[in-house]
Amino acid sequence: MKKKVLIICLVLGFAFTPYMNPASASEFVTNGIGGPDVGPPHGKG
Amino acid sequence: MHIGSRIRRLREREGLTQKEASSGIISTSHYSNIESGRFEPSSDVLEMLAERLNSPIAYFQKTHEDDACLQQLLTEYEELLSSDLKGIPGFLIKHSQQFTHIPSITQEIMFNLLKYTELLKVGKIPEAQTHYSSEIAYIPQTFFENASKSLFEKYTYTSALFYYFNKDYEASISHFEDTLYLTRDESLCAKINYNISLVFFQQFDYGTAHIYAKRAKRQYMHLHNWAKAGDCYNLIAALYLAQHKTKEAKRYIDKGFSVLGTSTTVTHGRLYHNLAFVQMEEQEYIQALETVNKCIELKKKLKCDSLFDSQLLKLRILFHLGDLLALRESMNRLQPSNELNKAHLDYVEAKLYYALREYDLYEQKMKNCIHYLYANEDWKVVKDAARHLSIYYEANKKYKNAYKYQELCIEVYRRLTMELKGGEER
Repeated sequence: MKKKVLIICLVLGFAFTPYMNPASASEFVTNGIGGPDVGPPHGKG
Repeated sequence: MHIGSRIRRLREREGLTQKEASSGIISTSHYSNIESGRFEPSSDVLEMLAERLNSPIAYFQKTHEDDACLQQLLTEYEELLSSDLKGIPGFLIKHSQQFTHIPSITQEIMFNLLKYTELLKVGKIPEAQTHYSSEIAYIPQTFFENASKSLFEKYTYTSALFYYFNKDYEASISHFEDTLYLTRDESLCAKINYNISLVFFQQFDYGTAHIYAKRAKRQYMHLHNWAKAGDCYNLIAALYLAQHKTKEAKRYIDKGFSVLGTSTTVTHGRLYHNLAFVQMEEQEYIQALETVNKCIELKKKLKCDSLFDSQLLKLRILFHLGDLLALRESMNRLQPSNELNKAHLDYVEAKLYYALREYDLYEQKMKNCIHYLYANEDWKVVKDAARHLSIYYEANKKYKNAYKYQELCIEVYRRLTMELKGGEER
């Protein structure tokens, strides 16, 4: 009985735990902010 | 191109309706037919319209006569664009009377093309775009196809730049390719190849961008144009960075420094920025911070346009170092020069609040910056921000909001993909 209760509690615990951690603050996935600096096109003159 | 379009533009500039412009001269319907090119006005009518629209009569009569003195001035203007930018305002003021109403349509167009180039060179991009929209965009391409080759070449190149800054990359490439077809000038070919590479970079097509960038680099090296060759090395390094190939990026950055020599230029600033980025990707955060500080100092000295981007890179590095105090101090010292920079700073600030567990402020800042950046189509950052906020809401069991921002993230992915495919859905 105690084992059954323990198993049920474990299963419920996993079910209610977020399976994805929030993204960390230092994660900037894209190159959008402060990405590589390429400069503007070359003008004709 | 007919006299009617010139009359219409003058009328619009004077803020008059067709009825007001034609009142007492001709009927409104006749006037409308003149503007649309269906009727040719008589010389008497032209005289009266010229007076009504505050224009010299020559502006309506000598539309196909090039003036030799004006041609000399236009040649001088073009030379100043490559040799003495600072001398241009004085030059234009000195000859303002000649440039205000240029009778010859061809010479007027040439002046407007040069004006666009000048505005770009001094960094006034919004003004340049407005100038093109009001003074050049209305001219049908068929006019240029029948004009001189040099005018057509200038027009296609200028239009390519206009579309680049408008983020209409398909049109930009099309016009650059037209210019490539028209020209035999090796220096111009090199510029076009470099610019086409930039367009493909913006479209995330790094493979094609590499081809054009390396082509441009070979051409500039052959011409011994070390400054522009340095730009090419920097661009190739940035392409490798975008693909997370840091070793190759570092190699090209070193080549860039080598070809530029010791004199300090804006390209040096960009190379330092990208070097700091390489070091950050390789988790050498202390070196990255030193390099980005060097970059910022140089960009401040040279008043470089992309200074703010380097300051944002510094904030990213400080995040990695976990030095939130220095991060907050650096952020407080920054002064965004426009709303877009402010929104980017808000995004970083939101991340700082997240790290400090000030979640109310985090939510508020993040939502504000997503709202602004979405309206301004800054898809790369919206995608980042929406994803981060969605995961945050999910972790906090606010599933409705999590779903909303995840949907937004997917929508932005679709938009970015559509841009790559040619913009069928925008």
